[in-house]
Amino acid sequence: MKNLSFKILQQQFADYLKTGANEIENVILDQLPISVFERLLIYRIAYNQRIYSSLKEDFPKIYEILKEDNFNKLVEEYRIKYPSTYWSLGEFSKNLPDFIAESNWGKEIKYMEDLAKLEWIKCLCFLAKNSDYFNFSSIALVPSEKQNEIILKLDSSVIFFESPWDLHKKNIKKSISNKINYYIVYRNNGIINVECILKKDWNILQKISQGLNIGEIIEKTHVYNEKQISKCFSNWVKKGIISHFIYYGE
Amino acid sequence: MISGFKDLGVGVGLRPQHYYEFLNQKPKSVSWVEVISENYMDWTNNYKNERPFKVLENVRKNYPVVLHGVSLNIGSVDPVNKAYLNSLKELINKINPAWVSDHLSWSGVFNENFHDLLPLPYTEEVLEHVANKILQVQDILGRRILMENPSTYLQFIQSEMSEVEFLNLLVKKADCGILLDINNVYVSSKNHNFNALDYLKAIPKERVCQIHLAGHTDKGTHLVDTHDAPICDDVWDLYRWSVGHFGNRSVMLERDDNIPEWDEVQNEVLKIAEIRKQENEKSFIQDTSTTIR
Repeated sequence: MKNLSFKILQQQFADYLKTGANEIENVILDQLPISVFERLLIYRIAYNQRIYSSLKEDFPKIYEILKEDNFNKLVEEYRIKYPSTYWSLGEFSKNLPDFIAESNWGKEIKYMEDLAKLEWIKCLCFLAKNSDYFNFSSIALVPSEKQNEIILKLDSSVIFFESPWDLHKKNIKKSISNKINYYIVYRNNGIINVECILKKDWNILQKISQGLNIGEIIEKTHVYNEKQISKCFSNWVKKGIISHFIYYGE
Repeated sequence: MISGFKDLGVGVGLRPQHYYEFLNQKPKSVSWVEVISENYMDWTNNYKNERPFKVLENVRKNYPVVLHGVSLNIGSVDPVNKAYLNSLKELINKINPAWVSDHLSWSGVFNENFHDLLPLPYTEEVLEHVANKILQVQDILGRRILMENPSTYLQFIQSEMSEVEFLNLLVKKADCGILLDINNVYVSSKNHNFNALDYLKAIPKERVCQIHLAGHTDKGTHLVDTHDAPICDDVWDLYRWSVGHFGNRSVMLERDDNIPEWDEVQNEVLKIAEIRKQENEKSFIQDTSTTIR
């Protein structure tokens, strides 16, 4: 039998892994204790299991909703449409929300795209840089009349997300009156938190992320008074959503 | 041993399950750690793997680190992946590892990654191709690397030589070192009916710079290199023989799945150290007896 070129051999092996096309069997040595078919299957099973486990770990809620067989189908279709071109298996997950949006999965289960986006955000949140603990002693040194010049900073793990779906509820439905749900995803002491927050809190947090100082935030926020805003800040510091501050004064 | 490598003693594969111990307790039973490079490298779009990297940086303050990759894809017909090597080089510059290693296998082709260690036919053509790629990689990284012998589940009819013959020729052509995985030798020996000890005897001593020890799964008809179980007796025996034959080499325990609590892992690490000590004492006694005579 003529030898395959190195390139064709690897192409056929790749085809086998992806589709089960068994042309490659012709160039595998047949020896005991197991057959050529079984030898190749070891690699195909390992490949499928690795991809499946990685996606299941990154999208646990989607797995829970679809259950094993349908999740398997989703994984199979996804890896064909978006084959991994990454050196990290973790990065392979990143296109699943787009795939769901483009495919029947997103059409049949309408909230699935947003749920996938949120689950991917949780993965990214997990990988974000650790922050230092909020320096209360330093902020106490800022003269009280200057405290409005303080610029609060969000933790590097904080990611915002909006959706018309009640993704935080057990039974995911469109929210009442099609209002938008505002989510904040953040990491605190290694735990990923997803909170559905009020629009007014969202607006304040957005202003913080834009780099406005406390005085500017109070000035532009009309729904809370100064005391209420302070309470929000304090709460967010406790949760680790605000992780540090900047003060340019003397 | 070839230059650029030294005996670091007994190490372990660093896994997230044991981050707490390494950051807070700093176990003394282990003198170095090995990590999977890709878990700490930036992603393709330069997305920074900040948090895992921070852990590695802190561990590095107390332990030498070896970077062990799974996606170098040295055996692929695809050319070397410059983006991958740039990301790896950035990690190398930040961490200053003792050395860098990867596998004698391929993990993808035509730009697709299968995230597995796939087998090679052992031919002159492949030898030339892989050796050239290793030389390129070493040139880009500015250092010698180690190639790990794979565990395999099939062989190609068109192979012109055995795996160990291929490995011998490769390390000379590419002037690289060997990461000798004793469990892989054992697993492959059972799957392809060859003698594991004959394989080890044929390895060029001076090229062996590191040893891996791990467990596997016995499927009855074949073994699978799962790294999810304690080391079996036969592999312990092969390791014991290896210490006597190769001398002291940096050695580590690989446990990638069903990862137990640190105490259980540490017990195996201590056993590795004990075997090294016993074999060293034996060699000393033999050398002394020879000198006296």
